Amino acid sequence: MRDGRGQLSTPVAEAGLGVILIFAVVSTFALGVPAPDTQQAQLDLYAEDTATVLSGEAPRHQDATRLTELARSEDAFEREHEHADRRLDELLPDNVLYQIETDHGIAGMERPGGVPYGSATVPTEHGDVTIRVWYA
Amino acid sequence: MQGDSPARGQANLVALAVAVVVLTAALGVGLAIADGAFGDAERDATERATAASLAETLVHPDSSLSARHNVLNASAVAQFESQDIDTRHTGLEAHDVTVRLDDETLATTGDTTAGTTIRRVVLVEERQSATRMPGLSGAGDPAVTLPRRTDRVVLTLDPNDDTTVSTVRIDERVELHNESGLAGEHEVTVSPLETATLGIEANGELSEGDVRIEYFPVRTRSAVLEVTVDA
Repeated sequence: MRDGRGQLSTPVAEAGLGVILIFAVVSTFALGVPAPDTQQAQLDLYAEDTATVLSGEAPRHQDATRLTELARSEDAFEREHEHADRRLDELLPDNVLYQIETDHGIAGMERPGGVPYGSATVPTEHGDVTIRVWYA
Repeated sequence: MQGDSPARGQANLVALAVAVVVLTAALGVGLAIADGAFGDAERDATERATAASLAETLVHPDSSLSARHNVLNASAVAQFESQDIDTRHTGLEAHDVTVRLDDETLATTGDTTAGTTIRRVVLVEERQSATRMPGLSGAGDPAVTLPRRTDRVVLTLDPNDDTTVSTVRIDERVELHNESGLAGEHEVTVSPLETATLGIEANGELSEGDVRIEYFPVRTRSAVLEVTVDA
């Protein structure tokens, strides 16, 4: 060690390199297993559930269900959309925002781009009604 | 090593031993981390699939809890117990499961704080009894329209001795008829899809309380059903 001062002994240096190598491999495992996209499935469930519930609700004036009434015409949509909006607000948890789209317009909130959203479409005799939900 | 003092080799031997120990430890830690990463991914998928399928089973129209799709029956929910999870939904014995409705725990088979939760939007439907005692004064055949939809009507008829109730119509259809007079309690099933109008044919005065109409309107509230599974 007299003239080897300052030199790390070879095995220790090799061990250090080995440790670095091992952790390089391990870090690919730790980082490389991607987190599953669990939000999407839950949001789709929310959308499907609200669509199911609204499909089962009686309309306020005519038609088969509340959703059919909403899709019937411009006038019907104008008259009913606030009510549908309120109903969705009651059904969904507070941290979930929503919109409901028919051929005559969109009720609810503006959907921001780039956020994951769940959707459910219910066919009615006057056209499709689509419910979309996303996290606030 | 040539020409060196013997102590050098000794020092190297110690260094080698230290190096082997360090490498082995690093390898062990690395394997544990990798194994944990794989295990997490797999466990989460199992939990999620189990929770999703149990939640789907509970809100399904054929479920023991539900009246219709996504509509739970309040009385069935009240009777739902922790042991029902294992007895009705086999294959969950290996998992800890908690079922909650709006923060109220309905059933639990263990601690699920580390579990995966699936939430479903449901309605909870409760049939409550309501009673009307219409004062059916006046001649003619009085009619009573019930204010809320109901699935059945329980009529209790108790007319005076000089009054005979011969016919009860519901929505223009004869439901009860007896020429010599109806009395006592009668349960009639009606359509739950529209409000019912009762027409009562009597040959005399019916004072208030002679006809007691009990009906069962539905009250629904929205709720969130949470199923948490800890595999």
